[in-house]
Amino acid sequence: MKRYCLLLKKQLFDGIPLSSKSARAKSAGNIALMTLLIGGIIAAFVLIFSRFTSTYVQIKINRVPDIAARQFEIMSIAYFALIIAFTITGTNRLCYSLFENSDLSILISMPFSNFEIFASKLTWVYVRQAAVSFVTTLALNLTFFITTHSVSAYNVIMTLIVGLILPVIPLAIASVIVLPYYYVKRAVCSHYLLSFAVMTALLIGFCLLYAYMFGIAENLLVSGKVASLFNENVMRRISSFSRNCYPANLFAGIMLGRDVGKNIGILIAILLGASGIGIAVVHAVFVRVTQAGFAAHIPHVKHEKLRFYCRGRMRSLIAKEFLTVIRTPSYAYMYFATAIIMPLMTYYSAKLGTSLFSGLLGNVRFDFELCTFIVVLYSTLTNTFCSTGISRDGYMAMVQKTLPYSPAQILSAKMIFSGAVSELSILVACITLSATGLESAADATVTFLSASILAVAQIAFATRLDLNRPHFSRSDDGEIKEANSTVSVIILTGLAVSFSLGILLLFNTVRSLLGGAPTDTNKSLSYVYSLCIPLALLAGAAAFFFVNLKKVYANLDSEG
Amino acid sequence: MSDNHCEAATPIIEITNLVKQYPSAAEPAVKDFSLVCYPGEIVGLLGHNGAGKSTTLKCLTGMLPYTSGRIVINGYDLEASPVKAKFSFGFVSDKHDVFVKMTGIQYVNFMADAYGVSKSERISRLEELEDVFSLGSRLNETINTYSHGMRQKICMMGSLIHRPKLWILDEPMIGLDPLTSAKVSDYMKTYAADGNCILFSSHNVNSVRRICERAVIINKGVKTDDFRFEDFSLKGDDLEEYFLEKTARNDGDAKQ
Repeated sequence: MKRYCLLLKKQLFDGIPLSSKSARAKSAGNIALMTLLIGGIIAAFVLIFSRFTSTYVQIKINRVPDIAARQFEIMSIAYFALIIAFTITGTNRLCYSLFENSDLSILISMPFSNFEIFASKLTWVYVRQAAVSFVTTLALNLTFFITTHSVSAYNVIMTLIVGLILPVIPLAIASVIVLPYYYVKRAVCSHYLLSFAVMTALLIGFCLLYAYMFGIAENLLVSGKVASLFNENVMRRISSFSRNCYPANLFAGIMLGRDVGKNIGILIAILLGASGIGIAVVHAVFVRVTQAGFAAHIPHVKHEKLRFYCRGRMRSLIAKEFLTVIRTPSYAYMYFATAIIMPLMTYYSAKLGTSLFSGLLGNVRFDFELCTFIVVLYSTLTNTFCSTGISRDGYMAMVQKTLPYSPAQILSAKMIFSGAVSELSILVACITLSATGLESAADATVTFLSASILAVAQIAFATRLDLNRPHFSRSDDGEIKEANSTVSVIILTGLAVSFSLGILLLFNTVRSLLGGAPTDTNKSLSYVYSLCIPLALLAGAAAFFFVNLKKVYANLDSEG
Repeated sequence: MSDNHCEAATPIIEITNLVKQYPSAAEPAVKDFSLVCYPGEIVGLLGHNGAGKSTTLKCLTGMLPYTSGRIVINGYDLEASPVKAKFSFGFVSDKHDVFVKMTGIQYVNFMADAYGVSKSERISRLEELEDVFSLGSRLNETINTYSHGMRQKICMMGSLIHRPKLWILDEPMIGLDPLTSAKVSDYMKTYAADGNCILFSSHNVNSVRRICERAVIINKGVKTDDFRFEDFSLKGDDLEEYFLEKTARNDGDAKQ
C-alpha cells in the first residue's frame, strides 16, 4: 500500500509540477486559463442544452405529450454520450499511461509489483476522468433540473455521486479494449499512409456529424421547434433506444427518481463485474505487453536505394517541419483538420447566422459583417497549431541553434509552414461563402484579406509566445501530448479579437441603421474596420515578434 | 605545460576569457576560460561531470549565449557573424539529438541542405562515412527506430557531411560499440591529418590519450591545465593520477 501511494504521488507530481515557485506560478496560470476556456464551453453548452431540453420535452407522440418519457430519453442519451466520450478518452489515457509513458522503462526495473504499477496508473487515470466527469455531470444535471423546474436535494446529492461513479464503467470498458487499441494504434501509426487515411476518415465522420448537429441547431434556433426533426418514427426509435441503452438509462433512471433501488442494484452489479473483468484483463497482460512494447521494432517503408536530393536551405527547413507533422498522427490531425474542417464550419455557421438574423434589421443586409466575423473566429480558433511550433522540436531545438541558420530563418520556416495551411483554408472558406451566395465576391475578397492578415498576426504572436515560454516534451520523440498555456492564451486572444471585431462591425451596421446613413457608406466603413484593425494588430504582433528576438532565441534552452 | 605547436598557422578556435553564468546559479559555470586550437589538432577537453565541459562547448557552438568573453571560429566572431562561424563546424551533442521523425538518409540530406553541400559531394561523402559508421539499409528507416548507438552514428554522419574545418563532439564515445569506437578514433586522426581540427569533451582519460595530441583540463569552470601528450610522456607521468591531481587541487585536497 505504501509503495502504491508512492507511485500515485509520483503520477500526481508528474502531472502537476509543483517543484518550484515559478513552476507553481506557471501551473496556476495554466489552470486559470483552462478554467476560463472550460467555463466558456460550459456556458455555451448550458445555453444550447437548456433551450433544447425545454423544446424537446414538449414533443408529442400521437398528439399526446409525455414530459416524463421525454425527460428520460434526454437523460439516457446524454449519459450514453458521456459514457462513449469517457470510454474514448479513458482508453487513450490508459493506453498512454500503461504502455506509452516513458517512465515505465524505469518503473518496471524497480522493486514495484506489476499490480502496484498498474493500480497506481489506473487510479491516476480515474482521478483525471472523475474530475472531468464531476464538472460535466454537474453542468448537465443542473441545467436539466433547472430547465425542468425539478431541482431538489436528492438531485444535487445524486449528481455528486454519479459524477464520481460515472467514469468507472467507461474505465472498465477501456481496460478491456486498451490492449487491442494499443496494437491497432501502433500498427496504424507506423504506416503513415494508413494513418493519414484513418485521420481523413475520422475527419469526414466528424464533418458529417457536425453538419447533422448544425441542422438540428439551425432548426431549433430559427423556428424554436425541433418537432419537424423528431417525427413519430424518429421518436419511436429514440424511445426504444433509451429503454435499452444500458447502463446509461440506469443513470438516467436514478437521476429522475425512477426505480431507484433496482437501478442502483443493477448498476452496482455492472460496476463490480466490469471493474473485475477490466482489472483482471489488463493485470494479466500488462507486463508482457509493456516488455513487448520496449522490444518492438516499428517497421517503416524501406526504399532499396538511398535517395539523394538537394533542396534550398529554407525549403529544407520547411520540409523538416512537414515531415515532423506528417509522421506524428496527432500533429497531422491538428494540421490537416484546420485545412479541411474550417471552411465547412464557416459555411454552416454563416448559413445558420444568415437564417437567424435575416430581416432582424429591416432591409439592412450585413452578410459581409457576419461572414467576416465567422471566418475570423474559426480561423483564429483553428490556427492554434502554430502555438507549439518551437516546442515541437524538443531537444533538437538546441542542436538547431548550432546549424548555420539565423533565428529569423528558423522561425520564418515555422511560420510559413503554419501559415500555408491557414491561408489556404481561409481562401477555401471565402470561395465557398461567395459560391454559395452567402456573401458577394467583393465582400469575400475583403473577408479573405481581413482573416489572412489576422492569421499572420496570430502566427507571429503565437510563435514568439512559444519562443518566450516553450513547453518541451520530455518524451523520446519530443511529441507534445497535451495543450499548454500558450495554446490557451492563443485561443483566448483569438476569441477576444474575433468577437471585438464582430461586435464593432455589427455596431457599425446598427448605428448606420439608426442614423439613417446610406448603405454604401456603411459598407465602406465596415471594409475599413475589417482591414485596418487586422493591419494594426499585425503591426503590433510584428513588433512583439521582433523585439529582443535574437537575445530570446539565444537564451532558448530545451535542457534547462 | 603549454602549447607551442602550429602557432604559425591561423587558429581555428580562439576563445578569450569566456565566462558563462547561468541565471539561477550562484557561481559561473565557466570562468575566464581561454583556448586556442589550430588546424590539424585533436584537442580533448577533460573534466569531471559538471566541470563545465558541455557548457563550454554549448557556448562555442552557439547553443547558449555567454556572459562575457569572445569566441572566434575560423576567423569569424561568433557574436558578430554567427551564421558564417557555424558554417565552419559540425557538432555532435552528448544527447545525440536528431529529428527522429526523419529517416537516416533524410537527416543526412537535411544537414547537407543546411550546409549547401552539392548532390555529388554528399553521395561521395556518405560513402566515405558509411565505411566508418556502417548504418547500411537502416539509413532508410526513421530515426525513432534507432538504438542509442545508431543515433550517435547518424549524428556524427550528419555533422560531417559538409567536411567542416572544425568538428566538435560532446562525449562522443559514449554509446558506441568497441569496433565503431576504434573506427571513429582512426577516422578522427585521419580527419585531423587532412588539416581539420577536432575538439571533443570527455571524462574518460584513456580515450582522450588514445586519440588526442593535446588535452585541456577543466575543473569547476576553470582551465587548470593545457598540455601535449608528447611532453607528458617524456616525463613518464601517469595520466590518470595527473588528471585526478589537477581536478582535485582545485577542490583544495590535492594529492602530492
